[in-house]
Amino acid sequence: MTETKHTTPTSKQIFAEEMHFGRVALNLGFITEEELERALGAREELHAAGVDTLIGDIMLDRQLLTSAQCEQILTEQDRLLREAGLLSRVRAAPTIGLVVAGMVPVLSHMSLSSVLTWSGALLIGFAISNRSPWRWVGIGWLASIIAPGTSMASIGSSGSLLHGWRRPLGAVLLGTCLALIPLPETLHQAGPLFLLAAVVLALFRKPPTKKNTQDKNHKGEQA
Amino acid sequence: MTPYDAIFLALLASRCINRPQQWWLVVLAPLLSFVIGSLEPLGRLTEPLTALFAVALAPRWAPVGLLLVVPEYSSLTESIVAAAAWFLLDALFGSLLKRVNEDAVTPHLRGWPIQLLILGVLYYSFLPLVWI
Repeated sequence: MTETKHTTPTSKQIFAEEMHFGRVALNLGFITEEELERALGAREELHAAGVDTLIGDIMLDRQLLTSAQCEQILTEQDRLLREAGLLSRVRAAPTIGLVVAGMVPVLSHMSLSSVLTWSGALLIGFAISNRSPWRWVGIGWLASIIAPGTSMASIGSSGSLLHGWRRPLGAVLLGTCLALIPLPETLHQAGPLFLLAAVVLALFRKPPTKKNTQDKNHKGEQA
Repeated sequence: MTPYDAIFLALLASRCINRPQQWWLVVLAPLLSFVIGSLEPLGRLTEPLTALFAVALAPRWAPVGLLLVVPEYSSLTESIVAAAAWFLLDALFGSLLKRVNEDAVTPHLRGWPIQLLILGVLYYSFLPLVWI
């Protein structure tokens, strides 16, 4: 069953890209070959069980990588993909998933009770659910029964975008803040929020430098 | 959420997840949302059914499909226009990203900030069409 899935071009592409992430992590000296193989094995097992998880998340969960290292790998991966002419291919970006989910309440003009239901559904959902969108539809349905007027599509889309425990918490905080802070009406649109998010990311994200990469490589060689 | 905002949020979400082979089926989400929403006998089942169909169209791209069914489409024309707009903007956004030379972009803006800026510019560029 698993092998059949891997014969499709998409699965192959995804697998190659995941492999690419692991290779970049290896080349940057963040992980060892053995750790990469273990993480890929774990991903395969989860895939066979019907759970699609990204190799980066497995490495983060197992504390093989820090979030900063993960960001550095993704930046390097982007650069390599660009050089290979593969920029059109997309990859998981947990931080942007958080941003998208956090924008949902303010763009949906949710009332206070709806924001609370949305937040509660996300947090409860993460305690009992994985990333399966079907489960999120179920959770959204239950939430809309308990609190009529809540959009289950909003809960489902936000929930299925996030994984781990930090990002849902971040999305809930961001979503609640954006919805409750009395922002000007012009900021209740996607365009200004994108521009705001771009400015915040540009200001607070540390761009990787060649020196950092070389230092990490050196550490990797020593290890 | 207005259909225009939903289109752009779905565009951003589509860049967060690996694109499935039959990603284009998501285009049908606004149409399905309108058709199911207009079936009166369904009553309270309308929303769950819409969400289920949105996920069924492309399970791996469920967040994109679900975001496209969040707005309430008031007419068939509006849902068709939303679907077409999403499809065209997705192609345009992809094309623009291919043309961006990251070496010419300041390091702080590389990656997601430049993508968000492009989306912001596209948002305001096409906003007058909403008024029409």
